[in-house]
Amino acid sequence: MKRLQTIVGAVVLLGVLSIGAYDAMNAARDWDSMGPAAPGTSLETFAVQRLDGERFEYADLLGKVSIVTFWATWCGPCQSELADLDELDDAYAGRDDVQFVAVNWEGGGYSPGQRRKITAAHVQNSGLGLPVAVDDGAMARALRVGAVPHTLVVDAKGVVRHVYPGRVRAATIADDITALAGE
Amino acid sequence: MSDRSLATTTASALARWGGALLAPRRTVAELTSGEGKRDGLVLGTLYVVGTALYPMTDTIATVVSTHSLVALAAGVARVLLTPIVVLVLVETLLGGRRSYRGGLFLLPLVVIGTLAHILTTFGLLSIPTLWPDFVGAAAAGGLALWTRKSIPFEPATEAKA
Repeated sequence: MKRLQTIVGAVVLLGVLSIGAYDAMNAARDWDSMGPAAPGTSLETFAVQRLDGERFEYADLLGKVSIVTFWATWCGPCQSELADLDELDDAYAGRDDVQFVAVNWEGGGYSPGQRRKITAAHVQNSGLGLPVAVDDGAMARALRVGAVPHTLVVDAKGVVRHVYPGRVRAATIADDITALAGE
Repeated sequence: MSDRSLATTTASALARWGGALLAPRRTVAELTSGEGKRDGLVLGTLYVVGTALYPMTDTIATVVSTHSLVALAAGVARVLLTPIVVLVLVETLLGGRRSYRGGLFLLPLVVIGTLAHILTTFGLLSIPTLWPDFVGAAAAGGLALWTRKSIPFEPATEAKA
């Protein structure tokens, strides 16, 4: 019996180590495409649709420091971060070299129409003042946004300079804007 | 640890784990107090290796590219949450004086989680992501309840009692 027990235990250990080795090989192969798009990434292919129907794309990023934050209506930390960014947006209201865009990425399972409807209703209910756009998932995939909130600080040439996965403090963003606007 | 004692410890662990799956009551009843002290740590690590090595690597890649401690904490917490919750569950079910054996009951979680991961990786099974964790947790809890009476009290606490 003891021998059989040892064999069963060995099979368990071998199974775990085998799939672990397989995953490790895949992870090593995929390393370059893992994690979010890093600072230095150009947003040349960036394109989302604003709630007012206008496209917001790469050309709109040029000449301004842009704060692009991905969020979802169901995400608590996103609401808290959006409130902070909304205040920050108000503080930079007189500056045409700084812009904020809150890109809703609701996740899968919605048609484009549903996504816009959900986002518009949320914006109306929350009183969010930031410019809001909607992503169908293409930009989130391209920028490898793993979870929301996910915030990018983009320089006047359309190049990502800072990436913040998770909740970011308004003071951090303000510091980044000050540094980049002075370049 | 010498090669000989490492081999002995490994063989003893394999027999213990196999025994916990084949004859759980007898196995836990016959364990000496010194055996399986690190089962929680070892099986928790095996759970990560068997089910979550790829997402852990993704977390490392995120931290490398963004230097974000928040991403590190979130990634590690996401992976370790299940074994920690299951460990708390089985220790609660075993009760204070038997909870020292809690680590061994991570085994059903490791087996079910790893098996489900292998099957989904090779396209042989398509189930919602959290199902293996729920089934593994239920199996761990069930096994703890079924065997708890066979587990002797921890010697030190028995003396106090």
